[in-house]
Amino acid sequence: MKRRDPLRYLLVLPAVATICFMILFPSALSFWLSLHDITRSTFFGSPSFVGIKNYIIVLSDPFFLDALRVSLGWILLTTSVELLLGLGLSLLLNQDVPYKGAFTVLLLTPMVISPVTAAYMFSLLLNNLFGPVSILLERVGLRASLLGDPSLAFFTVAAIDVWQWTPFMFLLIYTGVRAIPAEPIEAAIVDGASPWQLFARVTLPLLKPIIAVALIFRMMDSFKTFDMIYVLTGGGPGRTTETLNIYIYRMFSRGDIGLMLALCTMLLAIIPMISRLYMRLLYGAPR
Amino acid sequence: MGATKPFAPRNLLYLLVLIAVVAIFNSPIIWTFKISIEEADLIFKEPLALLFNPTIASYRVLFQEFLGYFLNSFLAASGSTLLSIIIGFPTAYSIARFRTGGENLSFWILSLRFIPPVAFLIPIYIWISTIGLLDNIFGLIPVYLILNLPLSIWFLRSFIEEIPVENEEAALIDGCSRLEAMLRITLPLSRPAIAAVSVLAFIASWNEYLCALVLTYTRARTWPVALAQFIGLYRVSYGELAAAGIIGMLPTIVLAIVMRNHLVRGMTLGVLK
Amino acid sequence: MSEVEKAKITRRKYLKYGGGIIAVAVVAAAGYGIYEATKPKAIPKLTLMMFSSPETDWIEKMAQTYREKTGVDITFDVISRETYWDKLDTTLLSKSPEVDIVTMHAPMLGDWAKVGAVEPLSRYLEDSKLFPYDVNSYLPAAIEGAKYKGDVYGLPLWFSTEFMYYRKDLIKDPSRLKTWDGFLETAKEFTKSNNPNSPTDYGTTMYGKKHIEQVMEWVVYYWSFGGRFPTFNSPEAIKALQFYVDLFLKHKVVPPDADTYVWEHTFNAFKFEKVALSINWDANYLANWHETFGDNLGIMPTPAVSGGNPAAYSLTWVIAINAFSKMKEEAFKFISWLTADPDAVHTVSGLGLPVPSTYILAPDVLKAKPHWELMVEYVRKWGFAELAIPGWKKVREILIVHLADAMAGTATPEEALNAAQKEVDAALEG
Repeated sequence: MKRRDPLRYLLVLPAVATICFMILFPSALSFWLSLHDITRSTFFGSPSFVGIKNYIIVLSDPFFLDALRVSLGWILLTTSVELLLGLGLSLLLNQDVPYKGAFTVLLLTPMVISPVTAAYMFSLLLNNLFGPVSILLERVGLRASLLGDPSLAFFTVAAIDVWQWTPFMFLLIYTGVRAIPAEPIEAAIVDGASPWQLFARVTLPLLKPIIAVALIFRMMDSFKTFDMIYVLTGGGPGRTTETLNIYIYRMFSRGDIGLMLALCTMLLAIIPMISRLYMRLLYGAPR
Repeated sequence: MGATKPFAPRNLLYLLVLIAVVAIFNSPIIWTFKISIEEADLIFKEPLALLFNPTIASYRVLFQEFLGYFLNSFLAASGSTLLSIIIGFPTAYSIARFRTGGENLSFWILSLRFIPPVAFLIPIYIWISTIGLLDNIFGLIPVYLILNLPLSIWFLRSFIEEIPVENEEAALIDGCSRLEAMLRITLPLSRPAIAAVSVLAFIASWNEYLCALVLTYTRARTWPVALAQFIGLYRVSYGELAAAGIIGMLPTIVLAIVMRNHLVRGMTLGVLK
Repeated sequence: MSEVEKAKITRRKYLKYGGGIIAVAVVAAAGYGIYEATKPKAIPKLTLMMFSSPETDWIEKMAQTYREKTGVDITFDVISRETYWDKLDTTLLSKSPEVDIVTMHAPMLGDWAKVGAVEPLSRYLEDSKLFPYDVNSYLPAAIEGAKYKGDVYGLPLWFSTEFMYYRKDLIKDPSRLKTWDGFLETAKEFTKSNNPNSPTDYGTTMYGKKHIEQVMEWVVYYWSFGGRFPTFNSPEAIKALQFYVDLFLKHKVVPPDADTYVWEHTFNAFKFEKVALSINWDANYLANWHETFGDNLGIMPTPAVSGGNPAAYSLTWVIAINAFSKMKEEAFKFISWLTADPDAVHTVSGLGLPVPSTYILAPDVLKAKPHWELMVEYVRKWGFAELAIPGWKKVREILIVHLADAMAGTATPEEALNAAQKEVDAALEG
């Protein structure tokens, strides 16, 4: 019988303990509240137990589906572009170019600036009356309301998100690129592989785990994007930028706390399932 | 690293593309800096003005009011970053090498990153209030830790999985304990990943807004919460907002500069046969 | 070099790194300790939470005076406009004693009064030791609006209304602005795409963003067209919304990104002469349109339908005490001084705060704030306020979403308001 080194449990203990300490109470409270008719008005009194009624109400709201759709579109668009750009930049910086350290730092800056500041700055930059971008666009004949036009707003805000978070993908993927051992590369070159084959057959598979992690984290963060969208468009025009996260926020503002917690419980339950699926797709069954 | 090659024209192209990307990434920031030294009304009267008399009025206001907030943010961010490495690395190692907790532990940790902050505002406020850490840096740090641990654990784990086990096994044969092998072999090799995670964790905590808004009042207020005040004052203070934003970038930039060699470095210890 | 020797070297490096980290941590902790210790030991006696605005600055000045007078220190927790309401919700819902005094719109008081999150004040008002002032100095409408089930839950702090601001130098004959049709004609005249000779780019502003401020602007249109709370899908209301969104969608007399506008955008648009008209808050006069335009700043009541009356939206802010505060009497003393002490009211209104008190109608106060006389007149003649009933905040939130749909053209005004009404009815029956 293989003796299981108890060290492995000791190593994870601090993390598990911290997480339990911080999360157990709020999660339990959250779930408990989601089973009651909790609104701002009933919060202090004795809110009635309603079981899964909140869950049903949430799922049958057509605007919930709208928000879900916007969120999915948002996540897919932003993370795929950020992934491609991040990967491209990592490979680029991996070439024989000087000043790698300096470039690395300079490529991180969009992510460093606080999202709230960036949001206000872009709202000024793109303002039709006072924003340099709009004024310059007008001068070359392109009259557009980048944030005000319902057909453009989503893409404009997405573009700003790409600007801000491509460095995130870049940083993580670049770490992986730099850590690729030399032998497989050299062996492939000796075997006469073309640059494309080198990339597709050697580099990419070696990067897969890192890309997988980077991607899933960026997707989760992308889902949680709030300040940027809220400051720039408030979820508007109409519902074009009303992601699920903003929809949840509106539930909170309305005082529909029970509904909000029901929705969040559902999301939290689904996520492990989705990520498991995702990891399976990438890796196959657990190694 | 491969053998040095002669400087091909292709490399010049790469360099130019990099410079172009850096320029695109940084132009909004340079513009933000411009706003921060521009006189308030001029921002609106002449949006395209490039030559003007700069003023440091915005920065002066900041230094008068913001030092305390920056300090609070710094403490909360460094605390949570350090802890997320100190707690995260051993966890990542354990999961990478031993598959501790199987999939369930890993995905449970992952789901923490997914919690929409709005949803947890009230429960977490009640909890932090119950344990008496409201309006306190030591209340913010664990909250940020929960935010940063998942990435720390998952990314380090992925990275460690790519480190050949042979290195540690050689050390074990030499008589080291598992723990010593982890600290002496794996840890140095993981430096690039640790550097990357530190930068990301620091940024996330330093710029975090919603939880700080709710969990702090006046004593532990962090700078992003204070910064939002600049919209809606007597005059709309884009200048001060921009100045705060620029200064807010500095600690993280410094951190990135300090870490840059680690970020750029590859796996240096090589494979021991 | 052997493995063990290499390992020894790395161990030394770790001691260095580890030591370094610990040293930094110790220095940081020491620094923090010193910082905390050397912070002026003024024990914050009262904490007041407000949102970021000119009014906050004026009240902070009064707090300084109060401190000199009584030694009671008041710490201000100032939150940004956007997120103040979330913070307020979280604080009050969590029964937290961190904050003693809060401010809010009068219509929101009902929700909190109903659950007992704010302190009922009638018994304090009747105690002449705590309240040595004249309770009748409060304007009756204001104090009525702060009542729930007969008990006062907040003291009226300031009231606002929306004016029709216009440029006197550009609009020589403002009588056209008395009607909505005239307002539209004027706005078209000042829109460059319509009239290339226009001195301004656009005619007017709108609070177009999907945000509470849009609701607060639209209710002016709604009421003057004949809409009455809480019915939002009457024919009059639908007409009001149609007219409102047409400004943006059809006539384009507002900037094309007006659907992202909140206060600062409308403020800057008018101040920097991009528009000639603006339906906006009275506070803009002092902060700082009057300073910018001087005598060229014109003020009128907001337009009316032909044959109808203008609507003067009256928004009263109240200052209330957290029911879980540990310093309720001290808190009450401050808020009553601020709103009912003749000298205090005189001073703070001199600074710019329109307290709904008879004391601001003093001639010397009105001399410095000429627009207040207009404000009081408009509100007295045509004033209307939102209903101070539980559930009203939810009503506003419902309107935000549906007005935005109409504004974007994804729903007709009729569809949007019908959908809104269904939700409003459900919200109010609870």
